[in-house]
Amino acid sequence: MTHDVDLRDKLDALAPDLELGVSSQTLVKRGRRRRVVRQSLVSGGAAAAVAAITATSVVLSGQHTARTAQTASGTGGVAGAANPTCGVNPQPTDGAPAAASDGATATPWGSPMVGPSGVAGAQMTVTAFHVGGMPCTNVGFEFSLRSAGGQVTNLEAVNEFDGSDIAPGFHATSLSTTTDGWFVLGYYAGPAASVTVSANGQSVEANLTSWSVNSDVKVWWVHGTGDAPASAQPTALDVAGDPLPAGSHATQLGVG
Amino acid sequence: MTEPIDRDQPEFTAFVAASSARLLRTAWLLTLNREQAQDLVQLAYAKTFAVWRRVRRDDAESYARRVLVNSHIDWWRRAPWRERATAELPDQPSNDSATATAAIAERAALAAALRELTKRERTIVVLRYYLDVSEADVADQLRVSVGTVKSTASKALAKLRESQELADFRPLARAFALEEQR
Repeated sequence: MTHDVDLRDKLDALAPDLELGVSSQTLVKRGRRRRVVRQSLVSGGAAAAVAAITATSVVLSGQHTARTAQTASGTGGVAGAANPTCGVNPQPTDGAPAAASDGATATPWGSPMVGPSGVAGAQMTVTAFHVGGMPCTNVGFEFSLRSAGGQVTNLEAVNEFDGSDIAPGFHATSLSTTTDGWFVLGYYAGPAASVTVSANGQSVEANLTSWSVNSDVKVWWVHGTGDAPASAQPTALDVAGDPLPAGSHATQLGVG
Repeated sequence: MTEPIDRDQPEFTAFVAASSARLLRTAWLLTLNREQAQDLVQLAYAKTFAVWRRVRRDDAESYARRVLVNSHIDWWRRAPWRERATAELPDQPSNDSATATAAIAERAALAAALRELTKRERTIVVLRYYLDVSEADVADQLRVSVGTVKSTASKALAKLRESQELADFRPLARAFALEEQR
């Protein structure tokens, strides 16, 4: 610049010092929601073509993707509307509203599911919620730790976003990392009597519990400490010990 | 008690800490409004995190700034109600010295002059003369021709130079004139 007043400097001095107004953690949560909406919008068109039942191999890729309950704005979809391309869980009959976009304020749907978390002094509580705005998904599950003193720490809110939420097999398999270790969690649609997860070279039997609204939907989770697994493969057995299909909704985590 | 951890979060948090001041300044210059500037930057960060693994190794700040500008353009095109005339003036520290008082008066005059521009004119001024974005890139971002960028920038600088708000600040007006001749 050759002139005596630098316009850029003047503009720079003009702008006041502002605070961002939210924490980076809040921005991360918003970003996760956008990521899932983007994925669901991208995958939605291909859902009808998904048919083959293949072995589920959950690739965690060293990355953590939260799958949050969505109201996929802009899709124009009606929650739980009849859709010829996919089966879907029933809509709530008790008038439970669709979850808020972060799932955090969702109205519980059915009875909460409780079990040992693997973390000392804390129980796992899983609450179903109604997902709005996705044609093939009506239900999502929020996994939380509840301490003996009643303090609740939300781990993940998960739901299927690629095809039917009741297609036989695993759905919404996710990794949640906390300061008390990691969880691999999700749900299985079908008559599973047990779920085993292979991770970090070990097989661990998952905690398994049925959803009160649809007993063929089984919520499961495993807890571990140390390094979070780079990959995890869940398998399901029926009451006779025979393997059940892993399903066509193999969850690929870490999709950016 | 446990807290959920996202493995991307520390890196993203550091990125936010390093870039937020610049993005907030840009957003404020685009909107001339504190709340809208915060909204724009928050939106830009959320969208950036949604694709973080793709953009983190590139220039994430450029990506976020592009999202910010595009969102601003989108807002003014689709939701003009978002734009509200306000009497907001930049918050700056002040003291009793004559120099500081003159600087404050100059900033207030410049802010008032910027408000006289159309949203497109102001956006082009910010992109070209604050962010130093090339005419071709501005044209690409605004989806207009390079000729439109040139003519709009020239018109905007002329309006600023001739603004009555800046009548008492000749050096500032001269800076606009010089930019116009570049």
